[in-house]
Amino acid sequence: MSVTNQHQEDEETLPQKNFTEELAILRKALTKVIERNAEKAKRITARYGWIHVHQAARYIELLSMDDLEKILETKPLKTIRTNTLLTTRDRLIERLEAKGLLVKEYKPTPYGIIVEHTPIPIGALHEYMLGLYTIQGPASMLAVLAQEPEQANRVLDMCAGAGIKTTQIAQHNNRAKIIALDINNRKLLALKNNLSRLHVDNVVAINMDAREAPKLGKFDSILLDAPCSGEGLIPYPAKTRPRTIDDILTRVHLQLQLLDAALSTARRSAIIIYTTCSMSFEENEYVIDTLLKKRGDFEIEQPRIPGEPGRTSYAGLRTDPSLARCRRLFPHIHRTEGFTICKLRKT
Amino acid sequence: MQTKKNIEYKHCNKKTKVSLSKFISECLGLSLEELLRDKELVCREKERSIDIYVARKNLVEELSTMQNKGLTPFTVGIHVVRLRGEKLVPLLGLAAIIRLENKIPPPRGYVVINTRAEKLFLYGRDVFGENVAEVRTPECKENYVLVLNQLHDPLGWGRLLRRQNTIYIQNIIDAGWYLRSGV
Repeated sequence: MSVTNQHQEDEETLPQKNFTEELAILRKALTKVIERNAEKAKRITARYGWIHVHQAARYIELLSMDDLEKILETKPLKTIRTNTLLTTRDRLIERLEAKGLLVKEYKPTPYGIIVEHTPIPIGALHEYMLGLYTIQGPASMLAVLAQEPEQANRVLDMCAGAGIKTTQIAQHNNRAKIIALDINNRKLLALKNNLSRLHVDNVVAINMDAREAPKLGKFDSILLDAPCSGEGLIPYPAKTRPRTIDDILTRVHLQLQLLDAALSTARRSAIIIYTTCSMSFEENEYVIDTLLKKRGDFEIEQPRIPGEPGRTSYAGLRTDPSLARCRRLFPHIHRTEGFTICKLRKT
Repeated sequence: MQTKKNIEYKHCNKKTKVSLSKFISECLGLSLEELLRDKELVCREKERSIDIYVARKNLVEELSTMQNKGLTPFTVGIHVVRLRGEKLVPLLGLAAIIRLENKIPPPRGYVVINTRAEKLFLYGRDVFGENVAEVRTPECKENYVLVLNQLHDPLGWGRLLRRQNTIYIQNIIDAGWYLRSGV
């Protein structure tokens, strides 16, 4: 890279975009959705009382009443991720079967295992304590597979939490410098323990707001597992919180700021994976499309993972056609938690 | 945002390296160099203790860059040992590093326990001699031993004690801690 190009890249301004207009447009569209689907939404929430009538209305608009009911009735597969730094999937399956578990390969991944039956809680087995596996949902595993961080030198995990995806990145590339951020100290304590349990020695974790990530310099590969509504878990009453459109708009605002920061932190040609455990258009395609219109310095690529195409229209809003390259995962189609995974490349 | 005083990570000093090297050599019969092939030691000094971490060399360079920007990392690499004055306490991370370097079992300083004892040890209990299938005595005054199961998975650290005509493994730390820690 020439000195001039390097200088230009380093001089890129910190993200300070104002998204007021885009949030106002979204609010207007959602208000109409709530009104239009009010009756149907009430019928849904009468049966499935743990979701808010706003959520029901939004998903009836996005999918259909029939699909929404199927989602609410389908429990995703229970899966674990083999820690390939220590063992192989086959060897782990052998050990688990010897302890009376009924398991099989989760084929979309090279290390996922479906747990069909276990006589002991899956988080209490010795193999878990010894770091031979960690508990991870099937769709969650696909985000890092989409990222393909094997050749990256410097990798950023912007909202690392307890480090489940951070340690997965390390399995793909245990020589890269992996920087993990989280705003929550308690989650970083869990991350620290997971690094030790899973034998990962190439991560440094920082307690910081990921919106300030551009201070860390440029990265070759970025994972933004953005804080979201968690609507991908709506089949589980205990794991779901009712969300109004105000809750959604608050999250969308944060997601816009985080993705803006991610794009400012990415080197030219870097990959950014934007992912949420949500099936909503607002928190996924709308966020990416907004940044595409405001910045225009990235493209959307189709990741090499299963899933339905991204949505390019919803509630009267239309996105760039390239948003169809995102991948959407649904409980009733893929037997995974609801997830959206988009692969972006900085240009 | 840090609310406590920011404590820096830095290269461990010679005295700390010598203490750790001595422990690894005398207790386990290994050398620090063979465990640190492409890694480095990083220390974090607190008021009464020093926390020692092992991380990849390229990550340690990253650490300096960050600290120069006024950022204090929460953690780096794997936390392997805590030094309290002259007393060295091995942590689960040290067993992880030994395993990553394929040094299990080490030349000395380990015990292999049976399945029944494995369950008890991982619950934080001590191990009685009749449940010890194999023992290789350490040559350090602390008498620390790496506790292994019959598949040679490292379960944690113990202290080898002798009572009357039998041995007894006092639980120092075990992998069940990951569940009990509440984090």
